[in-house]
Amino acid sequence: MRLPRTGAFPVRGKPFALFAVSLFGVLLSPYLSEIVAFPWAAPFVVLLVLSFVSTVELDDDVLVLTYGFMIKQRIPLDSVEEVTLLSRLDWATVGKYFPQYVLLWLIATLWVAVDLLVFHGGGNPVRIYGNVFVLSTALLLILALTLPRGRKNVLKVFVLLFAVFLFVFYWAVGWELKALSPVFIFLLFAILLVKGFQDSDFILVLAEGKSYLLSSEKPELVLRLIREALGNVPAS
Amino acid sequence: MFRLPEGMERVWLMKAKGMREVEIARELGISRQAVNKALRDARVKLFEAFFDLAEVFSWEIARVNAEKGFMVATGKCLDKSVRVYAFYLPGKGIRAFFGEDFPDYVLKHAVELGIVDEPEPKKLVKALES
Repeated sequence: MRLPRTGAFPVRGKPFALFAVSLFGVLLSPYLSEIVAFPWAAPFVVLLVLSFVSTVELDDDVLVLTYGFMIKQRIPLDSVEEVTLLSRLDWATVGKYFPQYVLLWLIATLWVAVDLLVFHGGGNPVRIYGNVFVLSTALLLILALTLPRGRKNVLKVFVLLFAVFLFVFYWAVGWELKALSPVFIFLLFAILLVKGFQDSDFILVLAEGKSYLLSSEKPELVLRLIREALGNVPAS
Repeated sequence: MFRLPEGMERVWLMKAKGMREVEIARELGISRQAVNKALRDARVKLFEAFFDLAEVFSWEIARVNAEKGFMVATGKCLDKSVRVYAFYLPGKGIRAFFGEDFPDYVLKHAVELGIVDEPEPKKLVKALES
């Protein structure tokens, strides 16, 4: 099967900028919501969702990765040094090629932990439980990256059950649902990420000293695209 | 048998051993642009050769590194999945091996290219798989 040179198909990419902005936007949203009654997190959630919707296509001899319909990365095919198919993504790989992700997670987790334990330890219970939820989510993601693939479905179920429990709990104690919006945003965030890390293979492309990570349910198609493209590069 | 052209192979090997493009250009008395072009062409040819090899034998590719010239794949042998390691060896072309059964010249080559620091099969497998 030959892929058309202009063919594009969806992959899930995780570009650092989009991911970072979205993560911090989501984390900041509860604070911003207190200042102005506006769903601050909404645009960041949209960004977060978009960061998982990406395409890879060929433009002459350049592999074009488009993340969230906005950010484009262009990799000249003759600069590709290595292509690796990763059947699972673990912290060792993430730390080796994408230390910024690890740093970001550490900062985010510390942020929430300090907020929970120091600044809001005896404050608003809605806020505290929201923070507990975020912290649990971070821990779940750490687990998601370290557990064998087949066991990650358990995590997804756990996240969903935890969310249902929170919802019932809040409902039972009669707190305003409006205050719950950050919790549901975090829930969406957690499901997206856990889903992103499970059931898919990853393709690591090294080119010109930079690392590009793609996750795809059809990694063989991405490999084939690269292969087809390389076959068309006029090597002298 | 697939072989890189002699001049291209020399440039590729020097880079694979860790030399910088400027140093290669100085040593060979050619321009840096010529070195860069040779390296890009070498990478494309190596990728193509490894992909072709995998297709011929129906191996599933796990990793192709054109910088150091090796491929990790999974093949079938008597209905069992086996790991295949293929290397581009200067002057010899591509050689593929099943499991950890590497001859001495491959281990020596891996040390020369800095894939491992000592000629130890287990260490080489670990480096190729990491």
